[in-house]
Amino acid sequence: MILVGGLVYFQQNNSGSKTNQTMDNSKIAQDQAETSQATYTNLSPKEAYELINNTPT
Amino acid sequence: MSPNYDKGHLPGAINHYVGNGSLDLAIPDLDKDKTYLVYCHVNSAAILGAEKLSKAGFGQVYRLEGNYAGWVEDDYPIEVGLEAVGDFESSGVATRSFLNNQFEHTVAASLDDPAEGKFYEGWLVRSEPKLEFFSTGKLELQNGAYQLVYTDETSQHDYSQVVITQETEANGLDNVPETHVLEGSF
Repeated sequence: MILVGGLVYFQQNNSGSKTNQTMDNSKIAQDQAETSQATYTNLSPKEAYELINNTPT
Repeated sequence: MSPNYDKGHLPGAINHYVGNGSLDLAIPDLDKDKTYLVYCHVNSAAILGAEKLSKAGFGQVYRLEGNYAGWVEDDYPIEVGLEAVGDFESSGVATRSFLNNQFEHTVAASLDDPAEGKFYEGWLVRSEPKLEFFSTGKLELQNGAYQLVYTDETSQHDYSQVVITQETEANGLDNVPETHVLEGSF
């Protein structure tokens, strides 16, 4: 089981954040268009916890 | 590394910062035969991360509904880093969960041995509605790290701040915090 966490789009720092955010927003739009065909399954926290604890690492 | 990851994450989670292309760079090295649970602090990032993995050919991709906030609200296990205070040079990790009517809080810290006549003690703290705290016990050296495990039948979710102090042996567990060594927050 691999957890991929901390996927943050908007770089949060104290300097130049507006420029970075603009760039990242542009990247989001581009990426969303490219990945519109992808599929995955949504899990509630309870389901996710059960998945984590039942899947061999 | 994302600042949000440092503020708390699911134990064992790997941080990939999608906005700067970190996940794109990591995908070729990830094992497609394994199962992936993707989450973030906002929907847009988590959805895109899950979509990227799926489109790249990963067969078992899941996304956490409600993201990190939903996971925390339901009291599933979370992990935060502890940072050194003042002149102390050390670090640590704290976890907490409330499952099956059992609150569990752990600390594992890389600390030098305490000064002669001193010991390390853990505390959980809340600042609202007023400053309150309680001891989670003495840290013991195990497997090269100072550790503690605190359990309670009541959720201590509201006590979101973790403090490790150095205490005077002669005073014992007197419920009076002395010198702060490590701090963190869930």
